[in-house]
Amino acid sequence: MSTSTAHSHDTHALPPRPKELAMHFDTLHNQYQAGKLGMWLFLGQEVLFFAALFTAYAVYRGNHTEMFHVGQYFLDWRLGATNTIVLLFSSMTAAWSVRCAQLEQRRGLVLTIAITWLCALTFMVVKYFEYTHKIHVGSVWGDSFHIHNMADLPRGVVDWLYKHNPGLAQMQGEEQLAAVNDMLGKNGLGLGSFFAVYFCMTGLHGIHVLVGMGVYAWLFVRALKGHFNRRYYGAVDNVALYWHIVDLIWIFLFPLLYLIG
Amino acid sequence: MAGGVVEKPEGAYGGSTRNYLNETRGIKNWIITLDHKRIAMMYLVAVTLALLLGGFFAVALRTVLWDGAVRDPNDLILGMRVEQMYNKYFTLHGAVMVFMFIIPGIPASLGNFILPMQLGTKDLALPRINLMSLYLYWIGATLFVGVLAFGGLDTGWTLYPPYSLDRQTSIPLILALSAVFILGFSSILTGLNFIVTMHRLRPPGMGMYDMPLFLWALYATSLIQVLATPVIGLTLALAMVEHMFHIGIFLPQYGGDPVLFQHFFWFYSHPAVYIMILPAMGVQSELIATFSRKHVFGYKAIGWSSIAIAAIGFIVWGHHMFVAGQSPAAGLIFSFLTFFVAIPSAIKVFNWVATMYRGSIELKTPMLYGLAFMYLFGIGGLTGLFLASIANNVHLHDTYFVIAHFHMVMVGSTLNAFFGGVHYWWPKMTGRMYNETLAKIACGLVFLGFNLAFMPQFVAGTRGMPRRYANYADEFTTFHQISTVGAYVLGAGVLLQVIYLTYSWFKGPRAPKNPWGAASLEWQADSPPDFHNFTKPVIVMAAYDYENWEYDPNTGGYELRKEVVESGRSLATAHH
Amino acid sequence: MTSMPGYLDTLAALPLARQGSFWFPPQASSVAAGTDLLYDIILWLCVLFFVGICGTTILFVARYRKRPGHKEQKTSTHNLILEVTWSVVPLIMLMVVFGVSMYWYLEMINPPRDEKVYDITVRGQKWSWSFKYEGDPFESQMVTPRLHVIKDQAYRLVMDSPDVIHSMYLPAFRVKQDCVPGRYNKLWFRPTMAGEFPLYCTEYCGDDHSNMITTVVVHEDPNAWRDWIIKEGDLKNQPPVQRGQIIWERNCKICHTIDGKKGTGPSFKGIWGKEEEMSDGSRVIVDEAYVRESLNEPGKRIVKGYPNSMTPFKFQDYEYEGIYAFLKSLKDK
Repeated sequence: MSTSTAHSHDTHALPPRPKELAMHFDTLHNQYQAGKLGMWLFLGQEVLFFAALFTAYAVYRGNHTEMFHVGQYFLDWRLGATNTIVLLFSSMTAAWSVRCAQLEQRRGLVLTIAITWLCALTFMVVKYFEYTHKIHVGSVWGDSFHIHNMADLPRGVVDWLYKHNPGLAQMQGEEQLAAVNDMLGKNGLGLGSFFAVYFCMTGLHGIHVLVGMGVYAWLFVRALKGHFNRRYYGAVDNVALYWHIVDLIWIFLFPLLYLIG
Repeated sequence: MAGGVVEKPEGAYGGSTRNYLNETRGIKNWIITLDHKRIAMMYLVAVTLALLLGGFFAVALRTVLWDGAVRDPNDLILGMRVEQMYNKYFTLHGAVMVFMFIIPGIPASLGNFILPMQLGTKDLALPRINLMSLYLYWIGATLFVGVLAFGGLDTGWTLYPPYSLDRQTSIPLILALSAVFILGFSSILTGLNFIVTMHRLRPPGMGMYDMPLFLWALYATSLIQVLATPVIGLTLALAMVEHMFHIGIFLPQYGGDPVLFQHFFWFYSHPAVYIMILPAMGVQSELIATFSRKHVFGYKAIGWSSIAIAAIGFIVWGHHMFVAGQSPAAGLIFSFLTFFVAIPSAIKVFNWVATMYRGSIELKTPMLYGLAFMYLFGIGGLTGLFLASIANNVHLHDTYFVIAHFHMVMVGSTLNAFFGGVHYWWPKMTGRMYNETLAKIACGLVFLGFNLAFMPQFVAGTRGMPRRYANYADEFTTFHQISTVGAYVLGAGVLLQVIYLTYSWFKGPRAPKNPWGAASLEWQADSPPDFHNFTKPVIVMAAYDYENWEYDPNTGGYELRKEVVESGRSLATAHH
Repeated sequence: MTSMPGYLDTLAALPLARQGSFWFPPQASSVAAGTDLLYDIILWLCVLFFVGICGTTILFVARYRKRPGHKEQKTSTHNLILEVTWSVVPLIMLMVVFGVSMYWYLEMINPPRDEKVYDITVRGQKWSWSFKYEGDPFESQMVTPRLHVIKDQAYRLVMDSPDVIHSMYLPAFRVKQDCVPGRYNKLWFRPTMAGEFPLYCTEYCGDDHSNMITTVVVHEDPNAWRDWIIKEGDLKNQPPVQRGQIIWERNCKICHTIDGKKGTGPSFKGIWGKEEEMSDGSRVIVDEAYVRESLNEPGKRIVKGYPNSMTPFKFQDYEYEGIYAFLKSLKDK
């Protein structure tokens, strides 16, 4: 191997160390690269974390195709699509914020971070309405799945019910509701499992959005204080990377849950 | 590479009074430290405590098994039925040992301390992440103490549903699941940090192929930690949600599939056994080379076999489920793939033996552990072949044969390498020497106890003794009683170690800078190292060029040869 | 101990050669000799490598130990031919082992097609085994303490579990299969030796896992099996108390003693007609209604101080009668 002395340069001749440079790195560039590699590894970990859920999804979908077909009617694709657009837009502003940091555009940086944060908030608000509606209807996980009112059922589900049990039209009130829950619940389709998968996947994704909001709030404060410059913007870059993966996971979740019935 | 070098007067080597241990004082300066050495020492103390706790449960369960053939199942001990007591003991033994000792054991303590120093640098790339990993470990460990406080757990460390999730008293279960989840993230952060450090903080002139093999092993380990651990994290989170809300993922009565849990669990936990053994193999490479004073044979083969084991480890998890009802085709494929793990493992062993050829073998304590490793890993690895062959596995699955096999690998090999590594780097970490005679006696006790404890279990297993049994048929009594005696001898060996090592830390004679004549970069630092690791420019040289060092009778250790210090160049390079 | 079957006596009565070897219990099924041979092949391969590795290590330590006048010699740092050899040769050996293993595994999982294979339905539950036999004239759920089969006859076992995962292990037959709730697993074997051999649960299933032990009885003569099932299966013609006692022995014995000793569940001694305090503080008199509820929905009301770990049972009316009668008889004692 070739050899050299690691500390060959004379201490006194060193240029002044930037205040952002940690003591164990020799250049800001190397420090930035280390942070970035760390973030990429973390994202790899995130992918595997979600991969287990996607596997569970595939297993359940393979075992219960009909359940997923009917379950999908309960989800409003328009709300899902809105959230998709919101997240895609926020990914753009996140990427923009990195550009602003590199160019030392402080106002642009603060603004793009704020917009990204607001998009995340919008996403969560839409999710909040979706979740509360499902809890109101009773279309929830596992054993708790119980429809409270026929009128809450989406069109597609009603069609499916009548197609499979024409006798349903002759029933009324409680009797009808009991028959419906029998067909959809654990004695029939087992929609509780569909909503378990739905709530686990979107819930875990939602937790990631909340974490993203927290980190962007932190970045917002640092950006206001002017911590970032053209040589030191790793935090903005890494958080944007994280935000892109959160976006990317949603890009998979949206069609898998809302669209392909 | 790091910039500023802390200037110290010439001749401070080995005789320095200022070091990382006494740089600053007070508990606060330890708890919020970002120094990898202090974090490593705190990890070392923590995993040792975990080892003692897990060992306590091991001895306790072996004690229960002493007369397992003759007791009435309804007899009470300390107000508890023997079975219930035993079931808690083996669960806690497994969980504490796996999650709190073996997985973090070598990487987080020895690796944390040695990795940056073998790269000649000042710290890990991400010191805050390192500290966070330690905090997560503490939180996880505290939750485990909570499990004990709330009456313990009897699910087995494998936590198979439905049994594990379908229970009334949920506090210990939820605490245990959260604990393992958090310990998992501690492990991920350690692995992530190691990979980044090895990529970004290698000194100029040191390529990947110039790193000591310990680092290659840690690299392979880190890959598994980062890529496999999230899967168990998610699985345990799902298990927790299933337990609380009955969502129908793993429990059949709500529409779930218990075998899916097994797939997820072993997708992590099989690679995890390589998290346990790979760092041990890394330590082994250092021990054998140093104490044979020989360049390690087949460097690239050893390095890449670590990566190969890590990679193959990801595609063999199904061999834990040969009789769980997976399809015969899947069984055959997993069996076939499992055999391939044997090849890189064998390559390593052959290379270690070849390294000793024509060396100058010095039987110091670390080397004795190295030789014990060779023997125990030989048995542990070879008995894996019986289990890999599916036709035999059907008979041997979940018997004492499996117990003996994985204890040979996880304890026989990993624990041995951990002890070997601790004795090897002890002078560097604490600046003190331990009593060599006591150390050899302890090593002998550990080796003897280990063989007594586990060799009979192979035969008990092939004769049909199922695992996790508090009571057993009379024909197994002899095997169990020999095993119990072995557990006590092993325990005595470990306690002896703890005693003389603790004594040496405070009262032991001062250690020279390089007591063994090892050549990797950490030995150029003082013992114990300075707060910034190196007080003089590090001379980057190959990890196994032992001729750069010569014995100095004045210090009782090895010193760099004058011509190396003056030229700043390795002799090996000069010869080329 | 009480629940440990007496198969050892039966084994001891066998000729020495059939008691098993140092490593193994007797070879009592059609696959046992084959898998044992596979074991021996691997064993000798391992001995070869192990002695080779350890022998060389010891030799090197002896020859090259550090001593005055001895100095290490440089040797080559790698050797491609050597390294390829010691990788490829073991690999070939292992592939041969895999081939043999695959052959015997296929024997183990594929029941014969050209002969009658008898089905046995197996239920593993906390903490007992139930066996239902094809050709059982009573068509009942034969919850027998032992598995009864005929020598040289092929059997296919269909297995499941109502509660947690169990695993049925017959060491003398070298077979094992998990009973998983929510799915049916299958297993086949052909006993080749008459006698009585242990049957274990090998998947950890809770408190009495290590007491979930019984035996398999291999009958030499098909008529002996027929006599046995007629005698055992005809519960209806037994007097109620005896009927109840048989049901207790088959189902309840592991958890509920009849001598007053506390087990996983309350002892049956004197329990009939007694007022018991429940875990929720209420008080219940143990009568027909409560016993029946405890059998069908065990978790509903539990006697204070005991865990909720019983599996639901369903019986025929004449069987319930037997249980009540048996419990009453324990009160009189």
